Amino acid sequence: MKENAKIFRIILVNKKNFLKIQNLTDEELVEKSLIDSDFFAEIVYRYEKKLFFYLKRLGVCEKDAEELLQEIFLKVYKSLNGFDLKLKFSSWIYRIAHNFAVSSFRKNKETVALDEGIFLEISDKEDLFDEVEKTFEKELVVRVLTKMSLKYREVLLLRFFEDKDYEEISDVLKKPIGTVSVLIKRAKEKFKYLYKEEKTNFNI
Amino acid sequence: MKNLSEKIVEKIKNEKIIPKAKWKFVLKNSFYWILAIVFLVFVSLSVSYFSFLIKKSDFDVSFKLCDYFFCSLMILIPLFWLCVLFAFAVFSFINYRLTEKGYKLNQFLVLGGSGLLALIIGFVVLYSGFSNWMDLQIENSIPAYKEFNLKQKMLWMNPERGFLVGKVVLVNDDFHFEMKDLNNKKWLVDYRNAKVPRNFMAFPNLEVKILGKVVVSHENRFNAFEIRQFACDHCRQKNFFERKMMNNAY
Repeated sequence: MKENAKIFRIILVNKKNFLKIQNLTDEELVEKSLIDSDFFAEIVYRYEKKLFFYLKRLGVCEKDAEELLQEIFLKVYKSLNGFDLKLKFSSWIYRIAHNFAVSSFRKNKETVALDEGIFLEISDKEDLFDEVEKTFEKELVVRVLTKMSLKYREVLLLRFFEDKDYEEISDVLKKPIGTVSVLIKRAKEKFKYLYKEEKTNFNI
Repeated sequence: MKNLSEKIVEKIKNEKIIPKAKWKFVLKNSFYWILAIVFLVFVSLSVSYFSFLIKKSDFDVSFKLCDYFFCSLMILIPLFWLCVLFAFAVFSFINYRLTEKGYKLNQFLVLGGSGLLALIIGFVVLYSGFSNWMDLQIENSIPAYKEFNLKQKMLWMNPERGFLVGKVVLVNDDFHFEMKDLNNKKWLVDYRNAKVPRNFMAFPNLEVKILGKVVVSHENRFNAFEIRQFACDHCRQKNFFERKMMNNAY
């Protein structure tokens, strides 16, 4: 899977007279994709994994996540002209993915239980779960996250799994920064409470 | 997930998918902004009309005179406009939130700021006479409302209990004017000790509501304690310069 993508990128690099597209910023890629759709492949390459795991962490099942991903990238391509250069591209693409996930939940009426796979690709940066991971089993955290409502789960995921800062989370969720910080605070409290509860049940 | 980037680009090429034109996004955003502003203007107009109705109703006096049904009606009409006002405010806020940057500012700040702006514009509109004009338009197009307004006026036709309503016909001096009540009965009003509205100036055809007492010895004399004008009556009648000229003429 990775090999194919790499080959495709090499072909693209050759095609573009050895232009190092991997050195281009997302925003530059957007501008170039508007002229030549081949450049869009690099955007897809950069975000397919990140978005796939983000969707899964939100509670989209694997099969749906794959299908959604295609729709998300097509939507992104169609909306390239609507991208505001004052925003970070990653915030914008996560916003679109988030909206697709929420629509999918509305259609299916429920989210699926998370599995331990959601811990793949977790960043190494400051992490709420660092300490937890060291001491307790991942399964417990997954169970707690599954129990949390979407509004709390999504802020925790964006902050601690996707490494987004408050402004980026605000741009993804289209909520004021103040609201985001309140949500994160409450989500942490809720997480701690549920964690203790789950731990007790787990030990019994 | 296999070869997704390749798949997507192929699909884009095969189906000849092109990005939506930029002007469509600009238009959509402008549309939400325009709607948010238009609804905010409606909020201001509703604030103005609501205040006008409250001012017009004279609840402090009317409640002493009206029966249960009429009192309820007098409360329900401003209440209806209050609901309309809130509906416009909600529409305005929703449209603002749908704009591209509508989520950036704190929503309480936005609500507070736009509420304050609506209040300021509303009161400017109220004193410009627009609400009075609007009331006349509603009165002309809804006969039942005209009848209601008349009944509301008629509540004041109760000289024995100290309430009088009518039109000034002649200004005698700074403290006396002659008026005709709604039954065309002539009255000489003495308002030397009366509480009057700011910048009050009596002039022919001015409609007034008077709180006072019939002079026992003179049946057609009325001592006023308070004179009230119909809400923004000066806007309906004459402009300031015309009034001044007419007053000088008397």
